[in-house]
Amino acid sequence: MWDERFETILRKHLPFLPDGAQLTEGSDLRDLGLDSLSMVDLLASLESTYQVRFRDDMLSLGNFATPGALWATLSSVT
Amino acid sequence: MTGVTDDHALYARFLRGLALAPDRPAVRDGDRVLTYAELHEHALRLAGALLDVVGARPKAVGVLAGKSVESYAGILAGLYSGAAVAPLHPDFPVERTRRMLTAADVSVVLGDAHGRRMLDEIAASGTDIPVIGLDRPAAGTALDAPLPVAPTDIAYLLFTSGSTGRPKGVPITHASTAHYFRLMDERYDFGPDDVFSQTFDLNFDCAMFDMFCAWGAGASVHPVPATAYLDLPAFLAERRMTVWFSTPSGIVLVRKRGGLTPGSMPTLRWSLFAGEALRGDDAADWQAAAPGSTLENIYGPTELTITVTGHRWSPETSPGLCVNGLAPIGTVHEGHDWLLRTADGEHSDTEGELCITGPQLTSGYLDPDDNEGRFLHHDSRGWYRTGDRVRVLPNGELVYLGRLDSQVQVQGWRVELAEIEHALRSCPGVQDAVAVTRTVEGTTELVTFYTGVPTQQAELAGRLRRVLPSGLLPREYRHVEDFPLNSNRKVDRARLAREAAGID
Repeated sequence: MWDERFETILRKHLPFLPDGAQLTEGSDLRDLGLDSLSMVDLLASLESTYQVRFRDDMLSLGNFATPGALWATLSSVT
Repeated sequence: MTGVTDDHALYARFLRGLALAPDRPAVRDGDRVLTYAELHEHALRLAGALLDVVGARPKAVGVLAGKSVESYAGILAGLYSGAAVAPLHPDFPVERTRRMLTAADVSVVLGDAHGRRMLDEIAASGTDIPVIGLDRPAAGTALDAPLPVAPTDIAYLLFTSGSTGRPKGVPITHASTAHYFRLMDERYDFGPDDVFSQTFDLNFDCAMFDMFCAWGAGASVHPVPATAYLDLPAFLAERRMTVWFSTPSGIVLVRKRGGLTPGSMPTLRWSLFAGEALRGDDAADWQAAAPGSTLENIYGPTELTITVTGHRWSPETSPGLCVNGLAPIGTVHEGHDWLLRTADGEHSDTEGELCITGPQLTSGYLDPDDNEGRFLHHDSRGWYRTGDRVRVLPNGELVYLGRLDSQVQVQGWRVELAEIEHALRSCPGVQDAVAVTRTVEGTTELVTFYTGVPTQQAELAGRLRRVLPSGLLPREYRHVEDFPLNSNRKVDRARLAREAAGID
């Protein structure tokens, strides 16, 4: 499971996630309002918080589908 | 090359690049590079497989793949097989893609792994179309050379949004693309050292500009990954990119990331923008960031082959030509006639709906029913009604004023608000729906209001994703008890738009 910083950053980019609702590993980030523009912001926040660089080939949509997939992608570069 | 004399063929541009620069990169995606010679050979092999599967020249070939080097080979292979190419987006909803495949009468699809998964779903719903994997070596005999095509044959088919969710197919012939790219050769000075950005999805006609301008010059195209926007100046420097082409939303993204500082993009020789209205302030800022480049605002609907007007930005004179803060769209391409139609059907010398006829005009939508109201018959010719209101400037150039209908552009995608409303009304519990746009930091967003049962936004978003491309999804779903009415007892859209923008 992810840490609190990840949860905080991610929630900020999910306009359709109701307050207090739980994020699960399999939540659908697109349904929760993550779009291609906010994805760039999200990446930037994760890069600066965790001091990492994502590689271009990590940006397939599958890696952004769920919090679980995104955390796994992030963990692979930290 | 192997006796190909079809100069009008769209693929002839690639053959020209192949002769100019056989061992130079034609396309680069991350670390993956294909040279002209490699891409040519790969496309001939795939084209051979296409002919094998169909048993004859295919009428139309779908390419259902992401923006990888394989999809470029797929597009070229479709053209080499003499077919019309229909580039499709693997992230589009399944049902929408199925309709496109059927409407285009696609006989075979070239797909990557992602695309093939979607085709499996489509096959399960009863539409079974043969598929060839782009990422696997094709069986069968490679073609010796591309098959000849007639100028009147269709080069590519693209789809635009209709009001009921039924996409409208736009066929463009080799004759139209030949006219277009001849003008582009005259307008620009591209050469084998140029490196083109590829920001547009391949099912967007501006992608054709990048590919075939680059390939006609022996230059290379580089798909731009989303990570590039984190630090675009660094990406451009690393790739030594010389030609940038995107929607004006790209400018906003770069500014937001702090990259739009004077001189930050020194490698660029050309900066081109299309797909939505270009604000003069954005043009000026980009020009300062890329001072070595010539900046142009180019304009045109899919129905008129990629772009049909252009304005070359001048830091001295262009700001004074802007109307409502928008840069001029410039003059109409050589070989075309245009007229301005007023609301009562008369012609005006100063302001009205831009109607254009000439060699870049489509012969009509795939479904003739869609032609209704979109073409004007005048002077025994058909003119495309763009739906765009323009004004003639004192120097003869045109400037965009707005739309006649409720069509909007979101990051370059054309969409009828009615289509969004129709999709939302089809959700359980939703009684009626109104879609409006708002501008946030220079980009257009969709906001919806609905009546009926208050529903979680995530649930509505999930449902709309099944029928709308992701670029067209609303940023907000607001429940209201009733819509506000104006003095004519009609839904007050203007008031909803102000509310969405947070003005009321």
